[in-house]
Amino acid sequence: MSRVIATLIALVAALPVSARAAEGGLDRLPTLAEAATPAYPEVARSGGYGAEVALVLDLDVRGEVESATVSAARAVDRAGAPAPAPVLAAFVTAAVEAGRRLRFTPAEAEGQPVPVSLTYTFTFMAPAPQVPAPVPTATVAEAPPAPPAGQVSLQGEVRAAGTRRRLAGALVVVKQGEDAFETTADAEGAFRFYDLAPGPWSLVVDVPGFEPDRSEEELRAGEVLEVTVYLRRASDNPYDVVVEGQRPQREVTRRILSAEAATQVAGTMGDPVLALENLPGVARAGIGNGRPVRGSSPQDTRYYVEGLGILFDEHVGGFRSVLPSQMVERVDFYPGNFSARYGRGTGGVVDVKLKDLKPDQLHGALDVSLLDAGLYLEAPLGDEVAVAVAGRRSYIDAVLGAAIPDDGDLSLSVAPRWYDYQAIIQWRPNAQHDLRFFALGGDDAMTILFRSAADLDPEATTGSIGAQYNYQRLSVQHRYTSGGALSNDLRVGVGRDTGLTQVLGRFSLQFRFLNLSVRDEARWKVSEALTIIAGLDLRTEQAKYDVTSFRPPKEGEVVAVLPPADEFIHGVGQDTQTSVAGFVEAEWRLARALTVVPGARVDYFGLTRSAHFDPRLVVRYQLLDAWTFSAGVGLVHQAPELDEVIAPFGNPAVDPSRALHTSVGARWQPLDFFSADVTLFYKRLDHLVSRVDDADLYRNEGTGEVLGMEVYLRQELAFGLSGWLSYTLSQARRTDAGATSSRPFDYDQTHILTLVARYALPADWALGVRWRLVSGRPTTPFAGGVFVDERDGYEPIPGPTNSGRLPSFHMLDVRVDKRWTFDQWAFTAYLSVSNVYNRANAEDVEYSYDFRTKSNVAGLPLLPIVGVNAEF
Amino acid sequence: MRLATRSACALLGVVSACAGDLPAYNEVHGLRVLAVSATPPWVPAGQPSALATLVAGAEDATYRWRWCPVPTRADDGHACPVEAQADLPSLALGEGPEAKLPAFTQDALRRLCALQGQATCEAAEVEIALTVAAAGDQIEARRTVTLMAASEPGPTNPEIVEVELRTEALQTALSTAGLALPASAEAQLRLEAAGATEGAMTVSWFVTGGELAFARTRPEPTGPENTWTLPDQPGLARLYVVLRTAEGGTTWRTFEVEVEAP
Repeated sequence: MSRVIATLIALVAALPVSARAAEGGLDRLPTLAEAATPAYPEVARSGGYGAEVALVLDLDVRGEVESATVSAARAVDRAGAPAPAPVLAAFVTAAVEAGRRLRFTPAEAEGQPVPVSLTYTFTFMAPAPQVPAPVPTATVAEAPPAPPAGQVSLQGEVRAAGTRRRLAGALVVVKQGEDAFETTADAEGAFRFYDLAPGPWSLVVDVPGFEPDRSEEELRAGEVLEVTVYLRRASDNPYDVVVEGQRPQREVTRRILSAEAATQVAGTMGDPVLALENLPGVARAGIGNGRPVRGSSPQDTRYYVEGLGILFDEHVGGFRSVLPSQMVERVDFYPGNFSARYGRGTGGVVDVKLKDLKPDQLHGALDVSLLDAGLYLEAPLGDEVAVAVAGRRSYIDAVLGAAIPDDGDLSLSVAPRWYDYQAIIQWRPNAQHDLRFFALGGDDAMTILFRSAADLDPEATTGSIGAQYNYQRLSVQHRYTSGGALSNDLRVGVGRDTGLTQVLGRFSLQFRFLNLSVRDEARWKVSEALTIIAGLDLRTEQAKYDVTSFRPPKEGEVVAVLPPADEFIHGVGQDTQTSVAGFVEAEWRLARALTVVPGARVDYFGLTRSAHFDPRLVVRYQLLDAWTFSAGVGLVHQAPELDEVIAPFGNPAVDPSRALHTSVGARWQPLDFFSADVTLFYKRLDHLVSRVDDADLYRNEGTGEVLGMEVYLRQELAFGLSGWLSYTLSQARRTDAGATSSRPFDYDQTHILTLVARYALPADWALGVRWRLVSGRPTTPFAGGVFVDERDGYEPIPGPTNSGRLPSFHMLDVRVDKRWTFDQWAFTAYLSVSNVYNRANAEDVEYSYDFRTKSNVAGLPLLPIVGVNAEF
Repeated sequence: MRLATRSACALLGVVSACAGDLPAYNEVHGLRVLAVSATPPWVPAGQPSALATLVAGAEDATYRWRWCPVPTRADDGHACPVEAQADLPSLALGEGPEAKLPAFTQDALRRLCALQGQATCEAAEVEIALTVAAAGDQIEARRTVTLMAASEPGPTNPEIVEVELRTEALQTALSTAGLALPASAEAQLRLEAAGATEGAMTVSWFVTGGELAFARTRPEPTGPENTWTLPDQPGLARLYVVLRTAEGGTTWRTFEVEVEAP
């Protein structure tokens, strides 16, 4: 039986809510439905011992505890001295007994209740010498049990300071002289004490991961004292452990970046999508040029938001993704051998999962940095509806404008600037239905003015290079869970993309894309051993374009100078294409440790009017608890680029290209918070669209091979430290049409090493670092040039394609955070420094006018960015 | 380059505008081929075309002129892919600073068109290749000449009527030599042309010392005007002005200025 492993930390009687919840493949996390308070062992009373006992609870599909085993325990007296073994054993016994009585709401993965494992910690507070019997604990059941007879004397709620989110499961103790009572806050963070004597009482509230709160309260006869206790997160707690959950993968390799973890990565401005560049299999393409994945071009990787495709995932310049981190639950990254649910791209797949909205009241965040400012708000509208809105506007244009000298050769009339907005409305009328509306839009623009256009290009007619891009998306998602074996996920989206690019009055591209996406995915759990997924993926797009251009350079080609005017072509047209795919996949557990995931996908591409069959297979084998082995093989087809097909730029007869993905992997997870992955992969590409010298212009005669190994060592937050080390060793080559030998791929980078680490320091300081070491990417050298009178300049004589290589890239980024937490809100200031030792990394090669002398074009220098974030 | 500018360039990806310390196109140091002309550039049937070149930075250069019946490719080093043809003129055109592309008969022109795969033969472009060598350096240069089947003249080379120089103390039409100006003086230059439609004209400016505001000027937005800040050290400075038309016409003038201590 498959088991979803999700390890959470909890204390006393419930899971702390979302902030410390597991990330990963669960659509819905288990929440405490019925608390249980362990009996304080009599043997420990005389010594005044306290204890922490961490249990691993195996929950079944109904959320009931199947088994409770001890993962860690310690007991100390008031002075901190360890307790004798019998005392510790008594605490363990009490904790296990209580753990078995806990009940949770079922966890869900992809719409289905699934079994999970979680870590759950009981904390025993050292009691006063005589402790009356505890008051029964309230529960999170919709109809809570009737309170015991008596009058409420003290009641309150426990919230996280800063975010004001309610904290379930807090241990609440009141003391007055020899009297002490304890209770547990319910799922709403509420607690009550009855029939307390008037007078001063000490109130102690404790939740793991938070600093305990102690206060003195004065109770008066006949009155009910109401208190709200705000607990501050103890981020430097050495026992603080947050582990990302994992569902059983259908893929050989799936990397998960939780939004919470990614926001702490140095060098990526806290953006979970941008943090992808730190994962194994992702090469460097230069600033703002996208992400090559496992030897495929950046445009061969598909980006989705909740399964619906988006054209670009980041704003101009690559500093921000198009989604705010507050709306993102996690980012799933599949570098290859992905599920049959995905297709149309021979590179990787990035699927951004949005957060389920569960606000208990108005929450928000304001983020201001040197680059931009963003605002996020979320609020409940009644019990069933929640809304969230966000927006961001950059002002990097003003910063850059001030940085560029007035007497320089270039000026920025519109420096890179972007704005975006997002909105979510989520309606959950009952446990079966979940309806979500999602809107996304934005606008990017950049214009550079040059003092003399003719200096840049003899045939230039204007002195400006500019681009503007606008995108709008609206989608509706309906998730249905029968509560039994069936679930369905329907998504319908519409989008509009418009853009205009102009270069020196010679090149221009104006386009408008309208698209409609429909995606439906049904899941049927036939038995405990077999689950079948089937779906439909339709996308229709109308493209309207007006372009004046030479034939765009393809992979392996380089444009050193703009071609002469007679090589420019003007094309105007409108084209509507529909692509539709059907897919089916089974997750079949053949034995307890062996799972096979066969799948198939049929893609029809309107652009080429052709249909293609893509079989996929993944096999997984679990050895003991710590080792998992997997292997996968599958085909993927990808439609050619529009310009490769439409006249007069391309050849209408070209077909989709094809990739055969194969990989084998091993995962070792000796500890909850540490894992090591190694994946070997081989990708065979054929039918690649390749330029030819005859009238066909392009034919499917290119091939490619990619071979490599990925290593991924990851430590979740433990002992204040979190981070990962990723290393990719690979070789990617291409063979062009008519060529007799292969050559390096444009983004072939033999070694890619990335170290990401964050350490939580005392007093809410945090230090994050990122260090990268990457082989330089290939370049095509020029063996001088020939003066051409009509061009009033030189034409380069290219050497063998990609026979040169840029120097290695290495860079250190550092981020320092300081957080101040108040009761109602929290404030964070940060300093992010890119390229700390100011290395002049070569991003490209620039040649002299006669192509005899070359110089490296350096990338980002040391760049400090400060920012602040306020949340409430 | 200033750190701020480097930052901006890196962020913008404006590589060509942000080049570092590479030599500038319009500063002449060492051997340079600045222009290759054909007179006429559009050759009527049965007429030859006179070939000339503007070479800077070498007094004792050697020259080798060829022509090629078919277009050459950069990735082949612009080598001519065909051998000499029996019914076409010799591919070698001479070894002096000037040469002549011989007249093509109608039969030769048809043969040329056939080599180029043209079904009809109203005109055929041929490529002129020039190798200039001096003091261990060698430069390859190319230009296109259009051979017409018609005997009427086609577009011709433009003419530089005058280049006017204006400083705070002086306004004069530049002559080949004999003008003396103080070091670091700022001179406004203006070219007057004939035989070229203004919209299709490009002026390329080169100097051996000092600094030019623009490497090239066009009617918009700069016009045929430029600013030359003379060298800050005394000595001889040369100014090369090349005028081209969109139809393939090329002509030039060369001037010398004696830079004196201020």
